[in-house]
Amino acid sequence: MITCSYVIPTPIQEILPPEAIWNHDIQFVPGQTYQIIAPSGRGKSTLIGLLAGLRGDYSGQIHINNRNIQQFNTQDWSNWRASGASFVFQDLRLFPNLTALQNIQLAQNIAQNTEQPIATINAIEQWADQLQIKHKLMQPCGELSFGQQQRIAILRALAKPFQWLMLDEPFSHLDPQNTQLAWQLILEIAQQRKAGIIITSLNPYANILCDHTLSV
Amino acid sequence: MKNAPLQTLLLRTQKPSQLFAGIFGAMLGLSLILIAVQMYFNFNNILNAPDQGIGSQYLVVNKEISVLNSLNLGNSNFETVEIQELNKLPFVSAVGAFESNQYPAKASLNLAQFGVNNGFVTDIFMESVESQFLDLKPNQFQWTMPTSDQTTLPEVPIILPTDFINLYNFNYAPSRGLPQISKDVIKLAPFQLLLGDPLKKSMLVNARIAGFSNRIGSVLVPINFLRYSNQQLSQNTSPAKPNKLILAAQPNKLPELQNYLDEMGYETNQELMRNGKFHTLLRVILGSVAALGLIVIFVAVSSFVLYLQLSITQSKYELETLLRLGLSHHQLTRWYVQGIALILLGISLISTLLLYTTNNYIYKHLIRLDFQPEKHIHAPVIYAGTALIIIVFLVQYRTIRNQIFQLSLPSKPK
Repeated sequence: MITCSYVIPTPIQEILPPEAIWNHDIQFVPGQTYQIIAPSGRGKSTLIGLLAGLRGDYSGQIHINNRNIQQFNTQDWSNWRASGASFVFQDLRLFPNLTALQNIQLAQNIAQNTEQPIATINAIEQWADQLQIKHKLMQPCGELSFGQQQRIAILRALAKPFQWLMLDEPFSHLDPQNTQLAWQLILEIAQQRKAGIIITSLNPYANILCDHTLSV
Repeated sequence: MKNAPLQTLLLRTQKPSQLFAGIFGAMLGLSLILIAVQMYFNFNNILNAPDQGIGSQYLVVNKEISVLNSLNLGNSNFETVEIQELNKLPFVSAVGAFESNQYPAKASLNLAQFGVNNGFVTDIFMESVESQFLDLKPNQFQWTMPTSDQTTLPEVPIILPTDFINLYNFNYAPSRGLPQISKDVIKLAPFQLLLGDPLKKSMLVNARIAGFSNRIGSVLVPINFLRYSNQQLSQNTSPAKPNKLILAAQPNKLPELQNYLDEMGYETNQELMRNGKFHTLLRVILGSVAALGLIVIFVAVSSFVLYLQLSITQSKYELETLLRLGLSHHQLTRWYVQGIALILLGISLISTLLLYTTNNYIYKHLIRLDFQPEKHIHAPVIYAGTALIIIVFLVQYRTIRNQIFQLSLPSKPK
């Protein structure tokens, strides 16, 4: 369970309309899917950054699994990122000179000491096939288009252990058909692992249905 | 965590030249320091060892001769109190008094057996000093008192100053067309000593050259022989006061001794005094080498640290991403530290090798110069090396740990 109690990120404190979801008590329940829709500059990426422990500039309180994240030390954050949550950041954060497969496996290696299962190479290839990028697995990520890189970043997030998937505008460079394919795969694997999903986007996707939609 | 992708990720951005410069500098600095410390102890042991010739510096001291002496008004003898005072000086380990013959003496040499017709006869003077002050201790430099039934006196071994044979070989012999004589040959020469006044009481003894001394510039005979002959031949019943002393002094304290001698109006061989300055100079040189080593190490470690900081800064994207994927800053720090430990191990090994090679090289040279240096590496060298490596390691460890830890903290922009 993740709870955000009256959390306001410092950078948007002044521009925030009082009715915004930020200024409420929000709960993210495990196994449920959440879509956050907001125009640019309303703090979507900031929320993902807060939940990943990348930034600490906010007021209010955030609890992850009943622990205030202010009390997290660096090792707690490492554990959370290795096996608690998988992220697809807006800037993807791939290593351009490693191949797509090396990128995926590096993330798996980092999490390999956790007790949760990690995807086999066969599973990864099958998923890549579903997303129509199996033939790109051996190419350095730097040589792929942004849309292809987005799908590799999604595969990387799915291949490592997680209880939460946090996706920051993950389909921004995908056509509706590929978006549909990727969402299906994400949903399927998250359901298998009984994981929750938080996904942000600028506009509502026609073909993505979540349990909860929050608009800012 | 497999390290191969980390290497490609984290070392890609940085040119290795700065790292190599740092490694080379650290190696050079460490080697300089280790060698300087080792040499310091090597030379110190040689310079202070009792049997090494220059372990103690031996100085022959006499009183300055003034016009008064020439007029027979002065006295150049050392009084007992003066000798005791010298003995009490902290940098003087022993004082010996020279005893000399108190009767006329002549030495003659018959060179007929060497195919030379003219031998030579010369007035000589003889001295003795306790054997601990001699720079050579030939086995045969002993004289046994004659027993009552002996008709001839036992052969007397003598030690000549090396300068004597040099004077003969390079000055006297060429001017007279005589052959030069080696030390070994002259030891076979049948010297005879005529002691005392032939008109009153005298004795004729055979003498044999037992060795050559660099330290004492007079003809030396065993002390028991000199006392015996003085007793037999001298008019003086009481033993004469010494006018020459020999001091064993600590080489590194020669300047202090010089001051004392000047104050008392004593004279000594200035050439030997230079050894003391040489000793001080050697320390200054070794100290400078060690200081240079420290500076080189400091620069090298700074370059090393700079390399690490730059490397971490340039790999910021990669490091942040690895942290975002769940790698802990401990793991990242460990990865860097393992690399540094390997590099430092390499540096230590090569420096140790350089130390051994240099030490062996200098050892061989010292052996050739008749010193007896110790071949092993001295413990303080190992302590100094270990301490330096640990300090360098800690400096680098702190640099890395702090920088990576900063990256792993949630940012709070103002």
